[in-house]
Amino acid sequence: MVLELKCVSKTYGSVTALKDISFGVSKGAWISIMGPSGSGKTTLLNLIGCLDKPTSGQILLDGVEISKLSEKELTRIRREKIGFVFQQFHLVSHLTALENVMLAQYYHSMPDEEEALAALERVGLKDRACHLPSQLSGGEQQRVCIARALINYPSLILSDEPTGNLDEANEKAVIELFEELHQQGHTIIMVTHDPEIGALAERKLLLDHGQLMPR
Amino acid sequence: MRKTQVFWRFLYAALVKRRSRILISLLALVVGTAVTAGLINVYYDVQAKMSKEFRTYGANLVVEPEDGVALQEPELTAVEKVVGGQDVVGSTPLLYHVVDTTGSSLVLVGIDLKEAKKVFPYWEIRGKWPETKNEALLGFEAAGKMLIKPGAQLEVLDRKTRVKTVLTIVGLVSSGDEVDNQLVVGLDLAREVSGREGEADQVYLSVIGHGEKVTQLATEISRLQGVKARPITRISTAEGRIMEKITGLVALAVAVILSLTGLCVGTTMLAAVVERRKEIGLKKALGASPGDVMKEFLSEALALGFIGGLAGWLLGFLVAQGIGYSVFQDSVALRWLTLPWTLLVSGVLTVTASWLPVQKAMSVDPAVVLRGE
Repeated sequence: MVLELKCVSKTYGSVTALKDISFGVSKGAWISIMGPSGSGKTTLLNLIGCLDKPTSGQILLDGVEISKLSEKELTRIRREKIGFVFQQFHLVSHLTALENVMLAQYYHSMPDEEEALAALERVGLKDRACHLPSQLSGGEQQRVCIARALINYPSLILSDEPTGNLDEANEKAVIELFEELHQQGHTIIMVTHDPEIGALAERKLLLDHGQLMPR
Repeated sequence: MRKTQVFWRFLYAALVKRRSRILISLLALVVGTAVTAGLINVYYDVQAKMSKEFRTYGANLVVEPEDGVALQEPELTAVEKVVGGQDVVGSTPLLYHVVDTTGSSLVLVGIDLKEAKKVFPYWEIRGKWPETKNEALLGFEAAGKMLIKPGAQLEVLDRKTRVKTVLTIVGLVSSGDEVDNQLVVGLDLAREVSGREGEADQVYLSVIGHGEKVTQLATEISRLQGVKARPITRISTAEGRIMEKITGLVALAVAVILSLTGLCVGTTMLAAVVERRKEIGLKKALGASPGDVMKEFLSEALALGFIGGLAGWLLGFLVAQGIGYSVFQDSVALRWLTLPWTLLVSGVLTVTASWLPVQKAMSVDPAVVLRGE
């Protein structure tokens, strides 16, 4: 198991965002998390991505209990084990596509320009390596984001509505990329609103009012 | 590729590609450090320049005999020796002797004709300055009473010996003090007429420097045997007071300008942190520690401080030249020491002003700022 959640709950004051969530993700799986707005999808992704801590329960990532770790240790786990793909891309505007990929290498270990360029080639953007995000289309920006997420060989790729800001053509290109990654054996957890995209995953988790709905 | 290389690459990109955003901070820094560096440059130079300007007010140190009788040749030589190594505009011995003229008596003052021009630059001369032994200046008021004009001959008699000397009055002197009623001649002639070979009653000195420096020289001279020296307080105290006021004014101006610059830099940095909170959140999500965020922002601030400081220093030197020429009609010397100081001040200022914004950057919660819509 790459990831295991045991009775995970998260409350903000009197509001319960997640309640008793338990599931496991095996290596190479593609899981989609679906549900209406406010159902707790992003909260769940933040907990798995070590950006937040659960109020109760256990989260095991590669066998390590991460729910009780300090901020410093969570930062290290994020750096080493997680690759993020965001709906809004979140590329650094003053860095080129190549430098944005190298940024993840920089915080992880040693930046390697050749390797970063190879990652961009893998997402079909080698010739756009020296472009700033503002010079790239939405789809291209998202592909840079995917290259950045892959560069450190993470245990888990977490993706929050990766096609939410893309037109149909770009959406198709990005989804094809995810399918490719899945075939290569990457473990993907994707939050999505779109039932069609959700259906591509080998397993769907449906959240409603912070609780997992039975399959 | 080494990590430090990539760090510099990212820093360069943050400064160059965001140049329009950091322009206000940079401008504030350039102006702030330029005015500060300019004022510091002028301040260092102003002491020397003001002291020179003050010398137009005349002597600021007087040497007298300890016994109240006369300064003898060895004492004068000793004083000259001490003064020789100092920053002195001019010095002249003075010898007073009363002589008779037709119908009245006059005080004859013997001076070093060459040096006296520098010691008494405020003397107004109608006619010309005496050059030969028998040429003399007559006080303006005395000339009025005696109805003497430049070019006239004046016969003076020593009261004791009754030896007669004929002088040519080449000019009338107006000084606003007792000299207006005196007869000014060369020291050699005064000694001859008075029969006091090698003697003088006083030595007047015009020393560059104010307050302490003059007092220090006075103390040094007073250590010599048979002489005592005192600052002419009305001149040296005034100089000291003016210098104190200038120092205070420069310090106040620098403090105000630097505070305003700091405020501007701080505000711009804070705005930058707010604007870049998603970038900070992303970096944290990618594994940047709060320490990494602090390092990046402070490096940007320091780089900004360095660039702004360097440009400000150059501009400040030009400002100092402008002030130098407009106020003192003279250039201001380039002081290399002001460069490290300006860079240090600029660096400390930007880091201090950025401290709070950086703390804010460090506390950005990636889960909050990266939330999708």
